[in-house]
Amino acid sequence: MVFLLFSDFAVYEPHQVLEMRKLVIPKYFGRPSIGLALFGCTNRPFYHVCVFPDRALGRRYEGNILEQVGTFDPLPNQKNEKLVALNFGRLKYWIGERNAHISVPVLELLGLSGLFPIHPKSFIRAKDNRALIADQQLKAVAEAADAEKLNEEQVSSGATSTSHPQ
Amino acid sequence: MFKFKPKISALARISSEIRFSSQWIKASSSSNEDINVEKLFVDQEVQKLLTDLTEIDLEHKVFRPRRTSIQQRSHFALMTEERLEKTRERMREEARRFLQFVPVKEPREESVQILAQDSELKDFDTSKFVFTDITFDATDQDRTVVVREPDGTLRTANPEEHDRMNRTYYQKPNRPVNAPALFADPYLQNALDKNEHEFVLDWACWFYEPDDPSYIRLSQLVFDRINESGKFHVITSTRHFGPFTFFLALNDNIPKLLNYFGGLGRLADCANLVRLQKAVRPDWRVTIAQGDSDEKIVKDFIKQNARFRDHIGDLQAFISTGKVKSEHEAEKHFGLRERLGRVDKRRVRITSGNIRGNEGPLGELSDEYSVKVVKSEGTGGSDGAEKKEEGRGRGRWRSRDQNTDDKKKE
Amino acid sequence: MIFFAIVNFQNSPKMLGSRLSSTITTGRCLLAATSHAEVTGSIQKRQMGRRQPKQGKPPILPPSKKVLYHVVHAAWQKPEDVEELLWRRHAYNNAVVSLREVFRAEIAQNASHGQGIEAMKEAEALEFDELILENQKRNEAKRAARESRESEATKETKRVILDEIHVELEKRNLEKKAAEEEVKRAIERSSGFVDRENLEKKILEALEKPTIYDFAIDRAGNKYFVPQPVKYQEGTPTRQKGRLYDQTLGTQMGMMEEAAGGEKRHLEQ
Repeated sequence: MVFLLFSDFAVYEPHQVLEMRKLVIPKYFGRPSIGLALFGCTNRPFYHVCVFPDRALGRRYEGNILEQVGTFDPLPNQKNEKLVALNFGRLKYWIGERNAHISVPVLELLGLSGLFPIHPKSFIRAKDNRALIADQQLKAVAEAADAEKLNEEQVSSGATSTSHPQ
Repeated sequence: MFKFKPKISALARISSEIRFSSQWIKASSSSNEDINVEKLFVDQEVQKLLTDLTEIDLEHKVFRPRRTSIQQRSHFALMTEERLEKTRERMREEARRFLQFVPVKEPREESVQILAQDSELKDFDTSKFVFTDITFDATDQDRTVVVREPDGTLRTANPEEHDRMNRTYYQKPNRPVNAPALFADPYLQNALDKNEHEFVLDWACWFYEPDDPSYIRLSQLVFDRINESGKFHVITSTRHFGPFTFFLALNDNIPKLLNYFGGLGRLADCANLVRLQKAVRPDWRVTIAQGDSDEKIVKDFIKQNARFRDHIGDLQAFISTGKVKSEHEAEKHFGLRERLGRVDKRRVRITSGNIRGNEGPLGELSDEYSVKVVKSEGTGGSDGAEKKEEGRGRGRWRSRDQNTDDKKKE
Repeated sequence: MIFFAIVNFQNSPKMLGSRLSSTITTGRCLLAATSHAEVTGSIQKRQMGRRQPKQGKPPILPPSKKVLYHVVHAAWQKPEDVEELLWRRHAYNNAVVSLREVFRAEIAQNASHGQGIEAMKEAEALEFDELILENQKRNEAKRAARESRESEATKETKRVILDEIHVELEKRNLEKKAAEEEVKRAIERSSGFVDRENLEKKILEALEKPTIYDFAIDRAGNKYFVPQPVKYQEGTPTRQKGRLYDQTLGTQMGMMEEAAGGEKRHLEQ
């Protein structure tokens, strides 16, 4: 709730600033965090699902990784599959025993895998995608209709031209 | 996913218990009752018959030189008779280990169980998500693999996907992720034409699990082609001969193999094959008494199966004349050569008169092409000298002119 | 995150309206570019991990003292999405909390049923002890075998060495005896030696009975003296002797057959 105040620029007092300058986020302090670590190279993303010691320490350094519990290949393969490997035994340990914080992309993957309930964001994305597809289909239908109309006009004009040779 | 695990295994168990017909029995072969093929294959009697049928050819099959990644030198030793016999026995023991049959198993259930269906999740992504459990203590067989379809359905993986994920995450040498092109037809046929049956089957055995539907399909295809082409020698004395013979016996398709054995003069193997057929298909209308001799069994079989008469010519020849196929062929060959010799005697001598005609070396082609006779230097005499003189001035252009002249004449 | 969005929404609806329209138009443009066949390819808009890196210093560094606060710019979301997310997230977070409980209970149950890490460690320790015990047993057995083998080997070695010593001693005794014998024989022979007293006599004897070794010998043992030895040299002795033997021996001294026959006879005798 403290954060609510930050977005309000008008209300600003020194003691709140002091709280803001805290380097540790009390919600996550000391909790391991599970997230995706980018391990690909140029134009080839590939992720490891890793456990990090603390969210505040960042996940940019390989030395930070406590344990690798899976992989995620975001580029679909020849058979249009995205491959995810997860070490469920260790994930349960980190989530249950160690109360690890889980990042949203990993939560989404876990939701899709059936270990967790499906993440709200997955639903939102599905809804957006469905809307986009419907939109595109409408557009395609409209274009097809236009093209047909144009064709008909041409045909009719052609017919008139042939019936009245000059 | 773990919530579903007991459910998955329970479903799998049920599906393996309720099975109506075997994949190893073709629809064309007439059998309307259930046969538990897996059980039948490991039956003691059947195994004994199959082992007897698989000869052990140490020099030419089991320990023949083959291409491997391990470098080995051939080892020569001077031995006493006794020690040689001992070594042979040891090698035979080793070969028996090499010739362990590939198990004959029913294919895994191809259908999948739908674990969850979220219509709200439709089109969340354009591609499937395949989740593999890489927990340390899971084995290749019981590893959990689930698939989330783009329409939001969560289902277990089918055998193909399951094995592909195993190959992806647990790599082994010579086991690529996707099936090699060798296992599909133009290349498969090429390999089979080169008699590489054993290589194909060995690799398939390494690449697939024995209860993989594609393995069963592939091995049956290869077996069928062997049976069609009659190349039984490529598979004898290998670990695939047992399943092959079993497959033939199961489908009531043994006459060709019987003929092969008959052609080699191996009457005991013929009888064993008939016994195997009887053991595999108890409903078969051939009767075999306990104390029958090999010859009687085979003769009875021939008598009672008149429909196979066209296929078992070599066997009948062996039983009636006591001569194996190679002897017959040698005789035939000999007769052919004699006839050819007579033809030679009748052949007309080539002279300058008939060299351009039909009787010359070109035969019927001489109607199409004109025959030009070039005399060699020694016999040419004044003719050759003249040509030489002419040719000196114009070099090779002359010969080209000549050629064009010839063409014009034609 | 969601709260910022709501606050922003309430604070500046005008600005958001303009943003909304802009995003929608860009989305349309993108979609228009793709044909119907490529629908599946164009749906994806999320690209995880491929975002532009944030400007500024790495997030691990502390903010400078001049930076008083951090302004969070939350991405705009559709209001209906926000609404939906709100209740969904509520349910979801509750589910996650209980799932954590479930996992913890499962791990605890596994541990109590002897499948947990502790149990595994104990089992491993037990197995290790067993292995060590077995190893010790094997070592004991091997040690006993080795000791018996070695004691036998020492006995054998001792015997061999003693034998060798015995043989050596005997050999030395024999040698000593032989040497004594030889000395005795030499002393016996010494009566015929040349010394000052009988020097003249010996010289005379030698002159009377000279021993000549200048001969050729064949296989039968015949000696050929060329030139024939003489007792007293007369005249000047020949200096060149090289070609003196250059003669066919058989012609002078009898036939080869004879010599052979003589040999045979000799053998028969």
